[in-house]
Amino acid sequence: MRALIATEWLKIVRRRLNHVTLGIMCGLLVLMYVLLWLATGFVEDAGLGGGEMLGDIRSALFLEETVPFALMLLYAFGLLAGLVVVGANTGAEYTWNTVRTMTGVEARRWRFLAAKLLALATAIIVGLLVGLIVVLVTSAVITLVDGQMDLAFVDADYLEHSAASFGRLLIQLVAYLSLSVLCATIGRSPTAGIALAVGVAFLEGIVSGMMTLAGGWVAEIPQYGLDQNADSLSMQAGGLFGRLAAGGDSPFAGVIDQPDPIRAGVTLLIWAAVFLGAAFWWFQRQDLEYQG
Amino acid sequence: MVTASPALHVEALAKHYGALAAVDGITFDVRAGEVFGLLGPNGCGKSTTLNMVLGLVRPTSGRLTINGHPLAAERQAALASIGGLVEGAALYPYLSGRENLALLARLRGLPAGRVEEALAQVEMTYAAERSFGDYSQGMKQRLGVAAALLHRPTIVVLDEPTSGLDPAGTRDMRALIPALAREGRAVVLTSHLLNEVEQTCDRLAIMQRGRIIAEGPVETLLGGTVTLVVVPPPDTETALAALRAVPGALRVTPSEAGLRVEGTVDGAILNHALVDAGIYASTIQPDTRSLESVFLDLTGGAAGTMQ
Repeated sequence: MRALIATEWLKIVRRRLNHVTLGIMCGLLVLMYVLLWLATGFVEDAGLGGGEMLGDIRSALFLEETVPFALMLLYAFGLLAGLVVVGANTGAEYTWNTVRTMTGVEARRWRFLAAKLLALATAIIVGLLVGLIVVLVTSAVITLVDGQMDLAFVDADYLEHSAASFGRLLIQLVAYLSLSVLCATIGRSPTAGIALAVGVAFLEGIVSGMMTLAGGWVAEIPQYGLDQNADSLSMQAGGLFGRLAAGGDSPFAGVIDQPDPIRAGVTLLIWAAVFLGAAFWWFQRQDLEYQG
Repeated sequence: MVTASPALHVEALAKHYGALAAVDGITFDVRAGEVFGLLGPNGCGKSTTLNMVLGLVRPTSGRLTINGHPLAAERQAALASIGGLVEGAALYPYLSGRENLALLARLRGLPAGRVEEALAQVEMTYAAERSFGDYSQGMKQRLGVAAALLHRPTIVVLDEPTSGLDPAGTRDMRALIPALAREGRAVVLTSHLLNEVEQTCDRLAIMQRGRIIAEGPVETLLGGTVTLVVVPPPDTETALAALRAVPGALRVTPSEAGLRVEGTVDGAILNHALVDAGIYASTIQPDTRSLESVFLDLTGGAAGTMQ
């Protein structure tokens, strides 16, 4: 099994698409920080107002309060990047027909898929950590340039809260990424893995919002889905991230009865288990014909 | 050397896709040391059969036994001794040829030196550092064969092994296949080049619409028909009656050249039957039809549908 995991890791590390995806994610994170810093600085300097939200955004760019904001951006960009990496690396095995070669070498198919998932999970965690480090460095530069550098806030509580927030981010992502594995396995292509999972990620939010506004028992259904449970975990990070996850200044704020965070985490993990279980079941009995 | 016990035993194997029977209850054996050819028109079920043999496609019914291990019950042991290249080489395009083989060697627990041996065997050492995705079709085919032979399988499944190869590569591949058999491996081969099959295979099965319609040694399929010329005096009726009584003579018909006997019969036995009937044949010669004509007769197809 170790050789299988090492092989899957090698395949991920050597594939240029994964490097490019990580580079784009990090580039977008830096770009967001720089643009927001410049924009909020301009609005502030010009005295154009902007209210409490402007102050919150600007504060979130500085090192002391940046972790929740960084996680919010990582949730958005990291989810997209993760879906691309997971969908592409799972689906390409079918389009290249390498799934036929690999299952010829490792006859127990579940071991091949398990090794791939472990390697992908490691890659996603490493990618998110790289993204987080890039954001923290960017924030440190902004903080330094703005002359507010003071690391006195870094204590055990800060580190514990940050680690817990990062852990919640992983739980938020795991259900969507597991869905991407299932879609790529059934659809036998990267396109299926990426497009279907991205579609669900975006459409579910819209449908959930409409169902919530409908009220009654219909409004309770989204609490068993992915979107509201992911938002419930987002709120735990606090700061700007938490407020935006709760609806921010939108009409949804206060309308959504967010699920309990523990229940939300369990629900997301159950969904992940269902998606992965279905992927294993399907892969085990799947006919691996040649795809021309 | 061909052994008695089959390395690969296929029994009543079937694969149905809904109402379509892609493979419809075929049975055959392949022994160690022999090259077994699988022929048939497009869509006759050859690739599906090979995919089932390699464990890639699940049979609807039937049994597959590889070196004594039933594939359904002892999948790991069964597939450990088989290697194949079916419908093209499938390796990672962004890894080099050497990296692709090294990856497979590591998973199979083979020493690194085996990779170099396999590269040398298919004369790909010179291009081992190039990405697989940059290879020509022929180079991909060579590396695919190297990947299939990497773990020295006792059963080798090759689907159109000379596809995409240049003349030198084709010559090398035609030399490699019998060499594999001489080393004691069982080789299962498909090719649309019937003369290639004729040259390299010991036994053949011809498939049509998911079924095997003819099977046997190549010489039997090719030489099963004998043309008999009787002179003088031609006592056709007596000769016809005598020949039709010979076991294995499936069809006996008069022709311009003489009496044409079709079936798995030996010329000496036919001669003996004629002598017993008081007829002395001046000539008994085999009708050395090509495999292509046998194939077309059996499948009733046009050359364009051959694969």
